[in-house]
Amino acid sequence: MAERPTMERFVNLGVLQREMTRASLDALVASSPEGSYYLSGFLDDTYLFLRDRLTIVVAYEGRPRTAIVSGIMESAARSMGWIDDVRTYKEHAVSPVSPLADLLEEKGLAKGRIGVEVKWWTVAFYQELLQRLPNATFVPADDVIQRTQSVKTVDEIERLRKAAQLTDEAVFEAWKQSHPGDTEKEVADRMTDEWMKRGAEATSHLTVASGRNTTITHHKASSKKLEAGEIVHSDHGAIFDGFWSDLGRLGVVARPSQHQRDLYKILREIHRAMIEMARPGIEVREFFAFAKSECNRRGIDFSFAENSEIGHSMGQRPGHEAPIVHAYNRAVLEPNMVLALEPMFMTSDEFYHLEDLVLVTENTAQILSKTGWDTEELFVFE
Amino acid sequence: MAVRLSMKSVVNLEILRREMARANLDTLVASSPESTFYLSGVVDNTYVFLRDRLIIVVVHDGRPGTIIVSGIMEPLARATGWIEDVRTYKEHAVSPVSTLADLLEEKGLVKGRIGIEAKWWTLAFYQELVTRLPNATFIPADDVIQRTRSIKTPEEIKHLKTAAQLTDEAVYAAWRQSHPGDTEREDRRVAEARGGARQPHNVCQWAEHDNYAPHSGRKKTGARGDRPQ
Repeated sequence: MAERPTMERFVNLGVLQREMTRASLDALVASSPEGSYYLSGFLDDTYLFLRDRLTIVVAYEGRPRTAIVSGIMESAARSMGWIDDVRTYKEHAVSPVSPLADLLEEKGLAKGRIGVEVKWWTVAFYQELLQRLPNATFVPADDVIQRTQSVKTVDEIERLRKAAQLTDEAVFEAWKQSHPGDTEKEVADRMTDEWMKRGAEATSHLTVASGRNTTITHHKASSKKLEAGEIVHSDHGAIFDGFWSDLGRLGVVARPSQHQRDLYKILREIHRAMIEMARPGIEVREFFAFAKSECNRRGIDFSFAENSEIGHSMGQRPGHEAPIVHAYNRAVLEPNMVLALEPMFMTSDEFYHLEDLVLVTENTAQILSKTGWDTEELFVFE
Repeated sequence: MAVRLSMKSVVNLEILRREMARANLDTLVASSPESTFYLSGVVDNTYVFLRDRLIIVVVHDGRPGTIIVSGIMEPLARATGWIEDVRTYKEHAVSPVSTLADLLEEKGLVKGRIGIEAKWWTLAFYQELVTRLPNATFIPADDVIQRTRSIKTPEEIKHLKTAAQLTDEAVYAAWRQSHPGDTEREDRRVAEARGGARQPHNVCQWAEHDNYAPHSGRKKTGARGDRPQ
């Protein structure tokens, strides 16, 4: 049997209470996979695809107190999660909104100010909720959960460190076993095999691309062979003890050209400098501004990255958690936040990207994904 | 390279038109991962986790005509999908809803009946859409897409058959290699690491765990008499 975790080890209750008070909430209803998992310790991946199979966690009186799950999930919720008050509904017969409304009425919250995740809550369920509880005031509270999740507990940090390091060790080993002429798929299979050997529960995401395939975002490993002189890019992660990893690595087949060495050196210098910047008090958008200005100064086209982001926090399940490193984010770093920092740029025929997980401490940044793999130089597939 | 399918081989256009006509829709806006993949051939798994990175497929003039993706997904959409009209937005700067509203205005569709997936469309995006297009009529149309998808093309049936058979063969091979005393996790690793599969879902549990649904393989050791599932 897996050890049943406790709420205090994985939920930052102090920050949750602070953020609920700041938003003047009487109750917080989490229904997204990341929100409900974080608050309850219970996750069922089918919920991502079966949206009628809603898991709802309700926080009131200062902590997550009630979980509402499909009847078929009750056993999993009780064995994996830390919430004792588990209520169920019968899928396709009773809407999950019904036990939620019952609970809010029972707890005297039907006229209260209730926070909901508007970036997850669907139109269909919301309309049902409004009809059922016309006197409640529902307010967007995505930020309340995101800000709570962003400050990690000691146990979360250790699980994230372990996931990152085991993943990196596994990939380093898999890449050492790979050679020119191997296919992308063979490299990807070795990576999967190596992290499963090290105890991973599952692969969270896996891109292995070579040559021009690197320019296709999130390219799936194919039967294309690794050819001499090509860049190999991987963006990958696996789940260990319920926490996931997200790393990016670059290699070259046989021998790098001077141009590839130069571009990798620029990428690595920007990456290292961003890691140095990760200290309390810095605004997240400063990372983005720095990477952009460095690329511009060195004549590198940064426009691809400008479409999206160059970093994010992470936690118990795959997904980019706040704070997200984009050009407009004014969130301020605090100690015990983590960031997967991933500067990137695209040339006409190759993609350059490095990603490592960093912990913000009181004084300095600590690379949680640091292993024996020295990424100072491009990895060479020999 | 992965097999690139064509719209005709996957999308049951005849049923799609029938269902849209039945629901009296002028336009259908698909935004769930399963529907956008079905209608466009483009899938990016990060979209399941990053809800601001919306992919939208708009069906107008009787077929999936336009796809809207994040700028970083444009190469993927062009390389793997079959829709030529690819429009992009800049994440965190421009909302995908803005690009959708522009398209509906450009195509003269804002006064028609527009079907949306109410079981996927989030409250935040819906409120933005209604604010941007106050005169449009949005109708829940989850069923339109579901009914279309429910009738498979020969190509879909062929791929489903291949996936099911290869999976079953892999699991049978893995189970024959497993013995009393192995852990659930060992069983799972063997099955996952082989063959041409891209990504698994996997529940492997011995008797003691049988009543946990779904359960990820753990270190519980199989004992004689346990019934693996």
